[in-house]
Amino acid sequence: MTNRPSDPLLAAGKILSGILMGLTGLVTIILIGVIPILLLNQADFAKAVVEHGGDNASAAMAASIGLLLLAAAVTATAFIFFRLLKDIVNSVGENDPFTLDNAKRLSTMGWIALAFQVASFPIAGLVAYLGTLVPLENLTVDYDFSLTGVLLAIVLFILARVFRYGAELREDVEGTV
Amino acid sequence: MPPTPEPGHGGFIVVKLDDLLHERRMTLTELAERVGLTLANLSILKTGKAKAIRFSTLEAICRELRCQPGDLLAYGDAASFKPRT
Repeated sequence: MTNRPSDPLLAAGKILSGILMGLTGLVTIILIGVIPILLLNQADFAKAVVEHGGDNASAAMAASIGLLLLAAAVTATAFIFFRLLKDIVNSVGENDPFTLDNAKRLSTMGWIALAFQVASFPIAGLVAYLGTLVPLENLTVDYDFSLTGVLLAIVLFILARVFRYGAELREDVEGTV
Repeated sequence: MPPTPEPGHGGFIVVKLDDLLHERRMTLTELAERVGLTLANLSILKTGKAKAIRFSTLEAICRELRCQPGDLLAYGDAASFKPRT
């Protein structure tokens, strides 16, 4: 395997995964940070709900907090996903990609990709429920179940197997004189 | 020649490089240079920690030590092999 000091592919992988880690981390903090602000401003929240034609402010508050928590869980998990990706990219940079650690990372990433698809159901449900409480016309959340996401999970699981096999082969080669 | 272990009594391959080197009055470093292997790899072989040996390595060692593969490798159980004193 080649490992040039300034490999553009590896550099791009590191930079991109780093940026995505930063973004998902920031969004997680913001989502969590909004919850106490909501709780501290319940009166204003209730007024806004009534203004927009809603009549059950406490349920709308609970649904909003639930939605924020779920969204924060998704972005926090995405942060872990990108951190694992960065670790894999780093291991490629160190010329040592075929390890059991990377196989575990890929497997974890596969489960995360699958969890995103599963999480789309309660999130969509909460958004729909919130829509019934507060009839906002512009309330749309672009978060749907997708077969592409499931396919990504399958690809990651298969890659995990490939890496596990690669780790076994590497062990054999290392023990051969 | 040590006795071959009975079937079912797990024997193992023993590398007798130490004995051969002693007989040939050759150091491990010298052999490593001659066969074109690193000292670290040859040490792995000598200490029996290698998982496999390439035919090319076996050929090179046999060539330099003027021996047969059977002189270098043996199959037996722990009791059959006494360390050289």
